[in-house]
Amino acid sequence: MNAASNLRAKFSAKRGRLALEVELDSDSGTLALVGPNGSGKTSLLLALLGIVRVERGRIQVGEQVLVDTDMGIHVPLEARRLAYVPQDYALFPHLSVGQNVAFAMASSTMGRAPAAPTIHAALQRLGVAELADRYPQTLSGGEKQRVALARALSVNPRGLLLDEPLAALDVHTRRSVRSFLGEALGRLTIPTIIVTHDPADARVIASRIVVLEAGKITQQGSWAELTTRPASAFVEEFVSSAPTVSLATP
Amino acid sequence: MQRSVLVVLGALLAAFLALPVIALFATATFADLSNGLRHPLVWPALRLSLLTTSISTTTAVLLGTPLAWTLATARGRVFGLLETLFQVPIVVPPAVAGIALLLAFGRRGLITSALCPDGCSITFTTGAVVLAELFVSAPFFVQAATSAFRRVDSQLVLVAQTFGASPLRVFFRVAIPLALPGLVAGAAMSWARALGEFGATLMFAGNLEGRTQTLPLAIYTALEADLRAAQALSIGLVIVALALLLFVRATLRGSRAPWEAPP
Repeated sequence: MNAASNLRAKFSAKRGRLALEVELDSDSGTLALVGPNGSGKTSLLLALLGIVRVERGRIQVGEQVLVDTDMGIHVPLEARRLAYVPQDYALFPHLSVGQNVAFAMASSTMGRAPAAPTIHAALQRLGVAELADRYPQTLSGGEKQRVALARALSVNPRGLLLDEPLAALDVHTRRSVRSFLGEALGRLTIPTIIVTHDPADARVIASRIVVLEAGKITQQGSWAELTTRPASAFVEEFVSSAPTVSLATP
Repeated sequence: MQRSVLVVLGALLAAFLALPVIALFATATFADLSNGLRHPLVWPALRLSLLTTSISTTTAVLLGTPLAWTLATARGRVFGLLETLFQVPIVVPPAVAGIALLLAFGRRGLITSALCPDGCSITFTTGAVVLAELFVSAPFFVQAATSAFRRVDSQLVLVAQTFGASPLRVFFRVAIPLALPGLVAGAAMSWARALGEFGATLMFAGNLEGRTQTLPLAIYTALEADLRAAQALSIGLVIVALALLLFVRATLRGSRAPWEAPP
């Protein structure tokens, strides 16, 4: 595992009609990215990954510079080592759970196939080793998410990006998966960004919340800070729509 | 009442489509057919057809798969235009394809005069048959393969890249396995088109027994002297085409297995 590192990003980028202008500083804790629809949350993740091109600015994870437009650095997507878990988990349907992890690990090591115990250990970290021979279509939503997370972490990434990780789950499973996810991410020592619509996610899983509105960051801070001094109408609405009962503060 | 009008109209076309095929099988006795198959034109033509279509289809798949992947993943108007351009051989009459091939690869063709100014030509050789088949059939494969690749979830490709997978690894290990049923169907369509190729071959490669006379050309030649031989050859082609059609349908149905089978 890497030593604790942080993710620093300050950049502008364009995607369609959206102009992104952001400054982020995320330590090894979990950062929740919230904001209205179309505010640029996914675009921000894609810019960090290198799918959306940064026009001006700098992105750095730990000591590694991923983007520096002044120096002409644009590390390609394949070399950024940022793990990405999209909303539908994107498990390879033609590969079993074990093969999914093996594919990821082999991809990160120029095609060298990982040994069986290594695959087992990667799955075991998320408690899904017994699913190794199953195919993704046969898994429940919660299981898929654990497998996706195990696969993402198996390549020893510099950072972890999750796009709406709980949105595909029904309300009933969401709560148990949420607390599991909060626990699993809490153990990581890499910067983690989670995009979410759900105030409960931001409150339970994240140690810091960044609010993005129309491509710009309007507020960042802890849940408590957002509650006491909401910087915009959206933040006020967001924090007040969280259920207050039966939710342990992280 | 209104429904029966529709049924009658549909039945008219259905009957028209079925009749010639029925005639093909019904108007010959088994003895006629076995005599027909002993016609001297039959076996060289069959051999040549299998040889040339194997080469042209293999070439279409080997070169067409990377082309289709490029078309499916590239963005920009130029690629859209290119894609349309590659479909031109599907819509132009085979005679036009024959002329175009002559002008490009014929004795004084565009390529030929550039490559060997002293005069050489591929026309009237087996190679010309392969080129004619490739020209008219490859677009069918490229079209099918491109749409199969477009159906591959782009998130899967993106995620594979975040692991560090190279473009070739993404192509071979993610894109091709997921698009495989569509690729197989496209290859079968392309092969069927190559097998049936007549007009462009006749104009560009000629009708030389053993060298450029494929099955459709042999049918045409046999017809002048021996209807039964032509009929026997035709029945052979229909059976091959039917087998192909069934194979494609089975493949497309089989595309759900093994990983998409319900738990």
